[in-house]
Amino acid sequence: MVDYWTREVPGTDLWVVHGGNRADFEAINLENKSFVGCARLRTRNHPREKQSYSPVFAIVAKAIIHSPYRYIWFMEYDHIPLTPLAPEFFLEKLQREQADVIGFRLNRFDRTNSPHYLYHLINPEFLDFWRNLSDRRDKTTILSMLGTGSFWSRQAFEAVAGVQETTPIYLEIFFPTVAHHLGFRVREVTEHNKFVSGHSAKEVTIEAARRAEAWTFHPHKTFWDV
Amino acid sequence: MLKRFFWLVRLFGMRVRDARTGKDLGKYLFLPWRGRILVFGLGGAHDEPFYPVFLPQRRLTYALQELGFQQHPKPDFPNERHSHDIAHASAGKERSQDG
Repeated sequence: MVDYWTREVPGTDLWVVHGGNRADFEAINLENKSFVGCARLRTRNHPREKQSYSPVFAIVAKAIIHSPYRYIWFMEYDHIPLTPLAPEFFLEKLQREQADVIGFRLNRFDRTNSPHYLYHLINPEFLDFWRNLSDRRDKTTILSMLGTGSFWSRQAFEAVAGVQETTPIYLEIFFPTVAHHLGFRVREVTEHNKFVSGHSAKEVTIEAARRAEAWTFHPHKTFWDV
Repeated sequence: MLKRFFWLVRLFGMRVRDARTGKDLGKYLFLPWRGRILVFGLGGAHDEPFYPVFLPQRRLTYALQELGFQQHPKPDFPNERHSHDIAHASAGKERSQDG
């Protein structure tokens, strides 16, 4: 995986955050790596257990504190970059949209029948969390964005990484909504939504995504087994 | 069991459309239950979430109101960070870099 990223995406510096077992972590041949043992990361049913990437964001923000990076491209292991130009495309999109965060499958969930929203709404602290955090006039806006891959300005990444998750919130809601309520502009890479999905679909393959000049593809759980 | 349930929703469910845009939001089965309405779907509520809204009526009538459904537009909020930076100069809502 490290070889692929280094070879295929030469315009980026890689930082691997590993949440698996310790032996696999030690075997990763890369200096820029961190281990996360947090139970909130190691969930099985991610939405029900409200999986959190907050430790990952916090670790990376701290790790690069003295590095001059201006953008952070966050990718899960099974979200595959398909072109060396992917980071340039994301950056161009971010700048064109005058956004601070871009990602896939971005929706607004508040007051809707979204199962994730309704599941969080049962927690009385959920809406209070946003009320206390938000600088927006409307403090009830709840966004959701697929958690597998997103592209951030450093300022937005660091600000969001610095927010403490005082009540458990699923990462797909937490990150876009925190960024929004801190005043950042969050936008969707709408034209690539079909190649980046929460679940695999028979009709959308990585080969089809390559042919369609997709920037990235998700999910591909066995990509690294080949 | 789940297959049979989906079959029921497909057969008896109502095709929900966005009252503003006409967009197809999927099939749902609405069941009145103890003063509420139970909404059974095919699992599409995550990708195409919607909210109920009473629709404007051309004629004033006390006996009939129409309940429709709408989606939020795609998020397109401006950056308000500049005012945030000023407001938070001393508020300390965000965690420090040290954790």
